[in-house]
Amino acid sequence: MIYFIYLLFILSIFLSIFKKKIGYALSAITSIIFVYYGITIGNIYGYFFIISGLVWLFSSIFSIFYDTYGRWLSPLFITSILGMTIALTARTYIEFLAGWEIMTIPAYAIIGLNRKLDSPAFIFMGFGELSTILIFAGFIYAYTTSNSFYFTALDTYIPLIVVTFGFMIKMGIFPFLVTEWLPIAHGNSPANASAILSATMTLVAAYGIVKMMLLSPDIPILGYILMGIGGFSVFFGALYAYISEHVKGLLAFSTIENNGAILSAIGVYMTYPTKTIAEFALDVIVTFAFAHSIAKTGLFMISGTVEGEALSKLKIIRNKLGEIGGILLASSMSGLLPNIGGVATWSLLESLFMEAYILHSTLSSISIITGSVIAMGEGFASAAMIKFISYTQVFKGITGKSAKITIFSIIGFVILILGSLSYLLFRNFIYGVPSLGIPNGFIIISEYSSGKIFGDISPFYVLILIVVFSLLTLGIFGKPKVRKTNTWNNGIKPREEYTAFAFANNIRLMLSKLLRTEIKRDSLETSTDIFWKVMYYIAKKYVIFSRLLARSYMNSSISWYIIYMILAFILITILVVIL
Amino acid sequence: MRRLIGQLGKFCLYSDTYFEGTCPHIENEEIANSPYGAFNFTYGPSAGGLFESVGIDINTFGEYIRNIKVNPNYKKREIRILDKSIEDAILYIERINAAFSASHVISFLSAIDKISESDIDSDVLNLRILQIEMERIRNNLFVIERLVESAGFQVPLYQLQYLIENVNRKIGKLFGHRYFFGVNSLRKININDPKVDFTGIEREFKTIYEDIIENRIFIDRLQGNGIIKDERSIGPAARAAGFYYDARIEDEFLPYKDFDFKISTYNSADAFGRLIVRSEEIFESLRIISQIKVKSKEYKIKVNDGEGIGRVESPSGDLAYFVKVNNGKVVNIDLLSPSSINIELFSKSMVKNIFTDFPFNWESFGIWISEVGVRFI
Repeated sequence: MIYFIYLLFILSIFLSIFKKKIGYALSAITSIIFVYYGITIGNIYGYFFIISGLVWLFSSIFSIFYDTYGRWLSPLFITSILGMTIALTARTYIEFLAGWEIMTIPAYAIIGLNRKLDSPAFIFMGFGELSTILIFAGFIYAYTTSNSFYFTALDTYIPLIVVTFGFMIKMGIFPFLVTEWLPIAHGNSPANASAILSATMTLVAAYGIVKMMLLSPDIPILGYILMGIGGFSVFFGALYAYISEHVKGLLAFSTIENNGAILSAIGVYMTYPTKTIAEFALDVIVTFAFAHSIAKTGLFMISGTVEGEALSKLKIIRNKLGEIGGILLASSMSGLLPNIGGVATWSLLESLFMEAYILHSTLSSISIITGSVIAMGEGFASAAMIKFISYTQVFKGITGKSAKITIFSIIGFVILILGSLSYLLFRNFIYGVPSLGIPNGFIIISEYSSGKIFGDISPFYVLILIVVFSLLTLGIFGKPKVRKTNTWNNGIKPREEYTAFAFANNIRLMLSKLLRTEIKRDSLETSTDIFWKVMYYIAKKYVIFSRLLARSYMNSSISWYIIYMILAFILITILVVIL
Repeated sequence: MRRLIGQLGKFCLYSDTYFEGTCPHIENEEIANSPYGAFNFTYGPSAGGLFESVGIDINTFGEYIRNIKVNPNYKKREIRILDKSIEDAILYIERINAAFSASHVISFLSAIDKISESDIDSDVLNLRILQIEMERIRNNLFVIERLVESAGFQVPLYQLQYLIENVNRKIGKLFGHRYFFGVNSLRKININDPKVDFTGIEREFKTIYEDIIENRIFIDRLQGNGIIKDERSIGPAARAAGFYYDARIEDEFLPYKDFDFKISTYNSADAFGRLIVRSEEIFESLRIISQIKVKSKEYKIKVNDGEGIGRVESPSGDLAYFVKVNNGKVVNIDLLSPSSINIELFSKSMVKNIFTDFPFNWESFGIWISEVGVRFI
C-alpha cells in the first residue's frame, strides 16, 4: 500500500506541473489514504502518519485556493510531502536519509524561489544540512554496531545521542536553545509551504528521535538533558512568539515552543522511573504532536489570507479559509479544555510532576523546574495565539456585516469533539466515574504506576457541561437580545488602534534585560533574540580566528603541513583505539 | 537668584521682576513621526480617574509613553470681568477655581494693592497669609488623598477625606465659607469665629502620613515616577527637585519673613518627592497658622488707576495676576496659573513612563484644569 501512496504523490507532482489544482487535489486524496494507512498500522508510529496525513490534507486543500506563486510551488510542495512520507515509512537508514533530503531540498527551493532576501534559503539549507550530517553520522555508527541498514534494536546509545541533536536542529532547537533560524526560514516561504515545514517537517524530526529512542538502550542522562532543553525551548519559543511582530515568524517561534514540549515529553520517556509513566509520556508526545500540527496548519492558513508581514500593519482579506484556520488554531490553545492543546499541556505537566513525585530525590528538581518553566511558557504561548488570532481575525477585516458562522460553528464543534476524542490517544489511561455520570472511557487518568492515580481530566465532560449549560441558559432566558450602539469614547471620535506591538509591549519592558529592549527616539523599540546574537558573535569571532590562523600558520609552509598531517594521524589513531 | 516663572499676558514674569515680551522659549522634544507599533491613545476628557474634564493624547508603543499632550480646553471658560468694579471682579475671581479661591483672590488683591496708595495693615496681610496657608493644607491633603485613591488604599483614603472635611469645617467656621467665597473685599476680611483651633489636624495627619510613607506598595508607585528636574519648574514640583523656589520668600508683599517656618525641599524630583514636600508643607503651614493672631479687621483701600502684578505661592506654585485699573474698573486682566506650568512639567515628566504610573504622576502635580482654560472678556 505504501508504494501505491508513493506512486500517487509522484503522479501528483507531475500533474501539478501542468495543472496545479489537480496536483493539489490528488495530493489531498493521497493524504487521506495515508491517514487510513496510519490507522491500519496500529502502533505509535501510526499516529505520526495520521497527524502528517491530516496536515497535508488541510494544507493541500488550502493550496488549491491559495497558490498564486507560479508553476513551481506546487510540484516542490508535493515533492517535499513525498520526502516526508518516505522518511516516515522508511525501514532502512538509507531510505530515511533519502526521504529526509527529498523533503529538505524542495523546501530550500521553495524558500529560495520566493525570496526577497538570499539569506533565509541559505540559512535553512545550512541548518538543514548540519542536521543531515549529524543524522548521517549517527546512522553510520548505528550501521557499524548492528551491521544492518534496517532500523533494528541497538546495543549502544551513541547513535541516539548523535541523531537526537541532528533532529533537534531540524526542530528549531539549536544550539540547545532557541535561535532564529527556523523563524527566518519558515517566515520567508509561502503560507502553504510554511504549514508543512512547521507542522510536519519538524514532526518528522520528532518521529526520528522517537524511533531511534525506542530502538536504543536506556540513557536517562540524555533524558534529563532533553527535558531541560525542551523546557527552556518552550519558555523562550513562547516568549519570542509573544513579542514577535512577523506573522510567520511568530508561528515559527510557536513551533519551537511546541517542539520543546515534545522534547520534554521525550525526556520524560528516557528518564522514566516507572513503565507506566514512560507509556504515558509516549501518549503525551503524540498528543502534543497532534495538537501542534493541526493548530499550526490553521495558523499558516490564516497567514496566507493576510497581506504584509508585520502584524501591526497587516491588510486582512477576510475569507472562509482564514476563519477555518482560526478555528483550527483555537483547537490547540494550550491550557484550555476541552481543546486538544489543553489536554496536551495538562498531560505533559502531569508526566513531569509524576516523575518528580516518584523520584523523590534531587533529580526531581529537574522535572519540577522544567514543568514550572513550561507552565510559564504555555502562558506566553496562549497569549501569543490570542494576539495572533485577534489581529488577524477579530480586530481587523470586519466589514460591518456579521459573519455567517453556521458552517464554521460546525467545524468549531468538530474541533472541540477532536479535543474531546483525545482519549483515544491515551488508550491505556482512560476510565470512567459512573458515580459522577461519566461513563467508562471518558476520563483520562494520569498514573505513575498501575492503579496509582496522580490526576485526571475529562475534556468530554467539560464539553458536555458547556453544551448543557449553554442550552439551559438558552432555554431559560431565550435568545439573547443584542443591542448595538456606537462606541463611546469619552465624547470624542474614536480613532485609536491598539497595535499588536503594543499588545506584547508589557513583556518587552518587563523583561527588557533579557530581551535587550532598546527604546530609541524616533525609531523602533526592538527586542533581540540574545541566543541568535550570541551565535552571531561566536561565528564572527570564529571567522576572525580562522583568518588569523590561516595567515599565521597555513601559509604554504611545507614543514607546517607535515606537522598537521602527523597530528591528524595521531588523533585518528587514538580515536580508532578508543572507539 | 532670578528665575523665570512664565508668561503673564504681555509680560514675562521672573521671580524678582517682569519684562514686556515673550518669555524665552525652550524647544520641547517634539516627536513628529510615529514609528512602527506606536499609536495615539486618548484618555479623557471624561473618563474614570479624572477629576475634571481634560483630554490627554498619549503617543505610545503600548505601556511605554513616547509623548503626551494635555488639552485643557474641554473646560474652557470665558469670564466676563472687564469693565467690572474691583468688588464685582473679586466675586468672579474667587470662583475661577474654588480649591485655590484664596490664592486667586489674594494674588488679584496684591496687584490692586500695588497700584493703590494705601498702606495695607500687617494684620490684614497676616489674615491673607492665614487663608493661603489653610488653603495649602486642604489642597495638599486633597492631593495626597488622590494619590492614595489611585493606589486603591481605602483606609487612608477615608481618613484623609475625613481630615479634609474637618479642615473645611474649620475654615467655614473661621471665615464663614469653606472656600473663602465672600471673605475678601476692599474693605475687610470677614472673620466669623476667631477661636478655631487647628492643632488636632497636625496630630491626625501625622499618623496617616507616617503610615502611608512606610507602605512599600504605595511608595513603589511613586518613587522614580515622573522625574522632572527642570529649572523652570514651580511649587512643590520644583522643591521636590531640590530647587529652593517659593514665592513666599521671593515676593515680600506678604510678610512671610515675619514667621518662623522653613521651605520644605527634597531631592528625588519624582512623585514621591512631591508627596514628601506637600506633606512637610502641611506641618509648616500649621506652624505659620499657629503664629497668626486671628482677629476681625476692617480697612479701606483706595484704588488708583494704573497696572500692577500680584503674585502668591499657591499650593501648586506661583500664581500671578496682571491687573490694569481705570476709573475703579478692571480694564485689563491676565492670569498665570500654576496649573498651566505644571501641565507642561507633567507632560515632560511622563515621557518614558508607563501607563500604570500615569494616575500617580498626574495627581502628584496637583493640577486644576479649571484655572487653565480661562479667558477674561
